[in-house]
Amino acid sequence: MKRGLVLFFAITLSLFFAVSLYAGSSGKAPDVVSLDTMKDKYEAVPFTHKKHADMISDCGKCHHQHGNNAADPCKDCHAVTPSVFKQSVTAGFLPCRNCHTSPNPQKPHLVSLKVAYHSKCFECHWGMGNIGTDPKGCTELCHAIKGTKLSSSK
Amino acid sequence: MGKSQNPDEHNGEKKTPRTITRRCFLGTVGALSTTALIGTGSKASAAGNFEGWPNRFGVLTDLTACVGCRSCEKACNEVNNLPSPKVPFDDKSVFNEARRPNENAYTIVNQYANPKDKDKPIYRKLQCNHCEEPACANSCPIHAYNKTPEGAVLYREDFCFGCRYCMAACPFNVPAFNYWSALEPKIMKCTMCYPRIKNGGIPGCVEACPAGALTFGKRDLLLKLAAEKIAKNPDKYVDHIYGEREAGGTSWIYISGVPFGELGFPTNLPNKPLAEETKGFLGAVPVVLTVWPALFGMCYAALRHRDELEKEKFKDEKKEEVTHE
Amino acid sequence: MNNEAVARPEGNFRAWFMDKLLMGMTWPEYGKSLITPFNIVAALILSVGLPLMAYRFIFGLAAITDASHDYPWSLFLCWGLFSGVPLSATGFVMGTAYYIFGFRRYAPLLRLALLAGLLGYFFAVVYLLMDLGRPWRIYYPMIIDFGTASVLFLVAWHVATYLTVQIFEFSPAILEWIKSRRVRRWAMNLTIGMTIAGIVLSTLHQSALGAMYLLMPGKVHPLWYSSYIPVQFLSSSIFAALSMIIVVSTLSARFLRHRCDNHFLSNLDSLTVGLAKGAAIAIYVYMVLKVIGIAHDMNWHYLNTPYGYWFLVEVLGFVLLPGLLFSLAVKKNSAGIARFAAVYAVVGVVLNRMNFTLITFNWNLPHHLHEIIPRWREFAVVLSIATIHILIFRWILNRMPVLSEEPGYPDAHYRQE
Repeated sequence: MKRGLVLFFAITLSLFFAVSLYAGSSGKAPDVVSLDTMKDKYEAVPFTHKKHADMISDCGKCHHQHGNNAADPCKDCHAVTPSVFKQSVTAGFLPCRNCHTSPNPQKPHLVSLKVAYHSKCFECHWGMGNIGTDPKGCTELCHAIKGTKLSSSK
Repeated sequence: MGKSQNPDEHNGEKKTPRTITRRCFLGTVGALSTTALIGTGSKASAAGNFEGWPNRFGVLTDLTACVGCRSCEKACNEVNNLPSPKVPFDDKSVFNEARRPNENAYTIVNQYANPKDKDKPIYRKLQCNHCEEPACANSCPIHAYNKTPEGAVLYREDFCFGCRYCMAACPFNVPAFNYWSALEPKIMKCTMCYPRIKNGGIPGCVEACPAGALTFGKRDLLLKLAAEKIAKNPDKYVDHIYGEREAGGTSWIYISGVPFGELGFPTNLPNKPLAEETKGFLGAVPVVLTVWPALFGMCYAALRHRDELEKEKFKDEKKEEVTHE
Repeated sequence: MNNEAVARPEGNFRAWFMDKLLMGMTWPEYGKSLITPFNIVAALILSVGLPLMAYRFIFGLAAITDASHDYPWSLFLCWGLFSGVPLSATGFVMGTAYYIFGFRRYAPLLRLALLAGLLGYFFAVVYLLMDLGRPWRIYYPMIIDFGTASVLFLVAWHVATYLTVQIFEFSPAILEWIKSRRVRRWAMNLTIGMTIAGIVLSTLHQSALGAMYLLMPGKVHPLWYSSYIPVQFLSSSIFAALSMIIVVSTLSARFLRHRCDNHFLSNLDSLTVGLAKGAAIAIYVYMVLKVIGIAHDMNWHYLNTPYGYWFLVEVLGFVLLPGLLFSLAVKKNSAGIARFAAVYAVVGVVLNRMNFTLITFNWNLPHHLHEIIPRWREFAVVLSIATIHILIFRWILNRMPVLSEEPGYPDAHYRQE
């Protein structure tokens, strides 16, 4: 009886431990993400994910899957089949591009990937360097034009 | 020596000059009736409540999101094959003066001071607002404008003869005219990238905008989205959706952090289509065409009546003279 | 002048016609007679203006206009069309007065008024052709497509129709000149029908020119904008026409005295005072309409602004004052005062139209007063077209039975009492 109890707790605890590896830990999260969806026009943006994640304790601030989109029906982002649903729940945080893709005139509230990136980043970065006061600010500070280098550092 | 050829005389006697013949009368009435029917050709538009084209698109512009990068201007220039500008698109010196759409730029971005935050200027994108019941379409005497089911107001140059009434009529001062062409001058303005949106795409400027200032979708959904944004952030936005009702409503609607009057938007527009203003006059046209001929014809008849009375009086007097001799 | 009441000679039509054209002079004589101070000034004006007109058609409108997107209409339309058309209502006013209301004493002025109206509309079309982007498409609203909801569509149709009507109305004078009796007979029979058509068409397009501005409530200053604009434009065209008849008859009596017959000259002063009476009444009616226009929308407070002061200058200084002068002329039976008032009233009407179309249009755009100043080239072309207008007017007055009677036409409505 006692052995069964210990076994039960061991399994449960290890399960919790396994799950906790994912929950809130930046261990599995990428260090630097290379944003290169517009690589024909701009050099890839080396997004320092770990730095940002350490700075902002609340992951939901960027990965706002269920944060401020509670009004959206689940099926808008999740495929409604049991296996995929289970997978997406345990997959942790989704990258932006899982939900934000190309602009869809039928769903104007779900912005495109480019807009998702920029509007999220601008929440803090607007005003840094010349962003917001000079059209050149974008290519000076964030993403250089293809074939050139960034001229200022953050 | 032949007889007198004077058609005013007949057998030596002077004919009374005929002033109105039946032929002349019928001809005039016929001509006037035809012209009368021209004025009645226009369909009566619903009073500011445009119910046609239920799936029409619009663009929501969030003026708090624009960072002034001018990507929209650049994209529009490329999509429409417009000439390269003298000042490149990443040059901020253009913000020193307020610009307007012109023959080389269907859309432009202007910069305004932000009373809430002096380090964060506000930018406003100007282009054709694709009104629900456009004044340009109403003003055009050759029917060169068309409000499409997709919501775009399109101009076609096939028939335009360059009267430029549409430029005068547009309450937003949008249409530009290519005065520099001697043989093919035409109106130039935003087309809402009609070929793209007709095939399920989005306008070039909306696609280019990185900051989320422009959102393309069904106008009804966009109005809801705008209302939601304002409701969720009452401190961030002024509680007004510009274009919901101005000039009868526009496809391009705006939400802003400061009052629209401070950003150069015309604020003295009525909340009904401008076409309503001329309906009263145009409605009176068939009435004038019908009543005036009768009225003045009667005046003329009264005049003739008086003339005949005078003539009779004169004849009577002459007779009296003769009998008294 | 060859005024014999004979039928056209059977042979040598060309010689007969050239004789009519040159007014009985030989070519060298005619050439010499053309060298006058006025003609020299006219030639100088045209030497600048005609090349500019060619320039416009070769290089586009930007060559001579401000090419403004905010101010699409400039002098060609503001002066030539919007100001020219009310001043050309002389035909309809005088024709109605004579034929429909029976003011037969004005017979000497009738043809002059018809001619002034005809040429005014003709040149309005010339100014329009100068201004349109593609003037070769001017007939499009007639047959290609119809923008029936547009007031301008109405204006286009009516001006075209009315120009035709006026040609018919004036044709008896031309036909008398070339001694075409049969055709003239037919033209005379059309008179009443044409006159009534003229009243209908004029009522509509004079008011339509104002109705065009109803579509732009944000761009016309509130003191000028009201739903009464069409009827205000119509009533101002009445006194504009009456004043223009006074002006034109005075100029004709002064500069073409040798062409005027005794009947015209001896009656001119009393007829002028009669016209002044009509003009005064029309002005007072217009004044009331202007007041109603402001009262209807409660726009009184705008009077105490710079544009308000300008409005008062226009209405009190250039409309009411001429009206009072007209009344004074009638009281004192003075043709001289009437003439002065007529010129004054004409300037007032032009000022009103300019205010609508040029001076207050888009009044709340930045740098407005600076933007509305036309280029010198536009002034030059407008002056040239006006010069050509006067030259053609004079050419016709010198030859055709307008200021005097062509003998042999007893039913010409000229000497009728």
